Amino acid sequence: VPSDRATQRPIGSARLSVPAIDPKARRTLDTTEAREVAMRVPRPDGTGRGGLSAPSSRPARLGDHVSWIYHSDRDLLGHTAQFTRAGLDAGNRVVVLTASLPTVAVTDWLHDAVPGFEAARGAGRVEVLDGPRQYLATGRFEPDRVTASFAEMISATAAAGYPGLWVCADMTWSADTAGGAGTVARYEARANRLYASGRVAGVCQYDGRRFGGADLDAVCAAHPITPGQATLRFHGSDQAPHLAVSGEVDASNQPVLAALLDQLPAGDVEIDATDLRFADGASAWSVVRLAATRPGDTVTVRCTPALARVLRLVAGAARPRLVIAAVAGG
Amino acid sequence: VGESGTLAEPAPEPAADATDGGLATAFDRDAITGTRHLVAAWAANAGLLGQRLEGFVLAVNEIITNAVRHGGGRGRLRLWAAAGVVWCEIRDHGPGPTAAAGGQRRPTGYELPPTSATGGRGLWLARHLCDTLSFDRRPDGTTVQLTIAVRPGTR
Repeated sequence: VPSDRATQRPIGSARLSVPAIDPKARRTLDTTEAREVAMRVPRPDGTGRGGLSAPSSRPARLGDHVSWIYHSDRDLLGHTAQFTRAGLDAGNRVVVLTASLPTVAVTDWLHDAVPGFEAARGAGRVEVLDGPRQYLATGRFEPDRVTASFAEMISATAAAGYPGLWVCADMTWSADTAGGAGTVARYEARANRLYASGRVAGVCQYDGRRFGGADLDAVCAAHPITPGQATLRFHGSDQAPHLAVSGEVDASNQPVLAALLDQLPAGDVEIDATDLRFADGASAWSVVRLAATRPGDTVTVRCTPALARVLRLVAGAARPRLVIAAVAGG
Repeated sequence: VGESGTLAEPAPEPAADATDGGLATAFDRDAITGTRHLVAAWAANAGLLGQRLEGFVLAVNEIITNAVRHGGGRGRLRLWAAAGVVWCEIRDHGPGPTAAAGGQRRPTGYELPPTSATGGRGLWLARHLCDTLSFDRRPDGTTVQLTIAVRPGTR
């Protein structure tokens, strides 16, 4: 049975065959079903960065990369069910990566909580996979290999005709990873590049009982979206030296911008920050530093007059090849 | 502009109760974004506009971020307006802008840190984006005061 074999398959270990989408399989919940599901989903008990009811506890659109903290198994299951339902409703392919709960337990829960789950699973539209087997396929965490595997999965999903891939990953395995939260935070920050294509959305679930406060800060700050914190959105491609950013960037998500800038291809670079409503000092500095560390390349930033002023202030007199184009009314 | 280490001048006392329209709030590491949004809404309501508003909000954000990173992870913020000037006072539980481990000079915001430095630009920005910036460092914490005139040139 394909779904069972899929459970054994590490990401990217073999060529992924994603069943082509069947347009007739797209469906929306009728209200009776929706009400029933809502009643079966556990009540939120989270506060701060957690909480099922937080509007940004799951992706709002493709390209969103969300961190979410849970405090109980019921929290985790309820959130996973909501994510799966929303992803399927929007016609996406959904992949659930388990960690703290057995794959079979999560699958059973989704079977009960998500209408049409079995049909979707049979059609290959949703898979529940063992997370550690995916992330630690070689016995240890190799961030570059995992990122490459996700890139392959995203391409295969697009090739099969889906609008996008929705990935829900319980990241609790990473609490025991060598290098700890710092390694995972760096991986998460660099993985944002995958989301810039707008073909994937994801939520990374962290167990608030397993990570200390400073570690949670670090991993959450590697995500552009954390409930209750600044929301950053971005778009770009691997080939073009262009990055568009919108929303807000502050201490709660600044490493995301730094990692995106760091991974821009060589050559002249253009950053469209016209729709960036807020950037803190560290973020402005990361843009200036990009220009300072790429001698010979010109970095052009289109932004609001307010951000232009801040960029000029942090650049100081020793301005590198930074072209600041203020756009009024952004 | 006040010298570092001393407040520039005695501040008019903030509103004693919320009915006078002042804002008082506590913040911690999870509340940088939310506190900034509160400050932005309050300052806009107090009459700050455009780039002066955006600059003031950024300045407050930088001081709050410093408090979270270096001032014990939390603090208290008060905002009030008096005589056409918006005042913001931020207290934390840290030693204030400190000499870094490498023995660098204590940043005061008067100089832009060198390109090699990772931090210290928040104070530089705050000094340029507000009318005054001053510190009061005590053993149990640091108080930073920012002011900006609602309309330019009135102070």
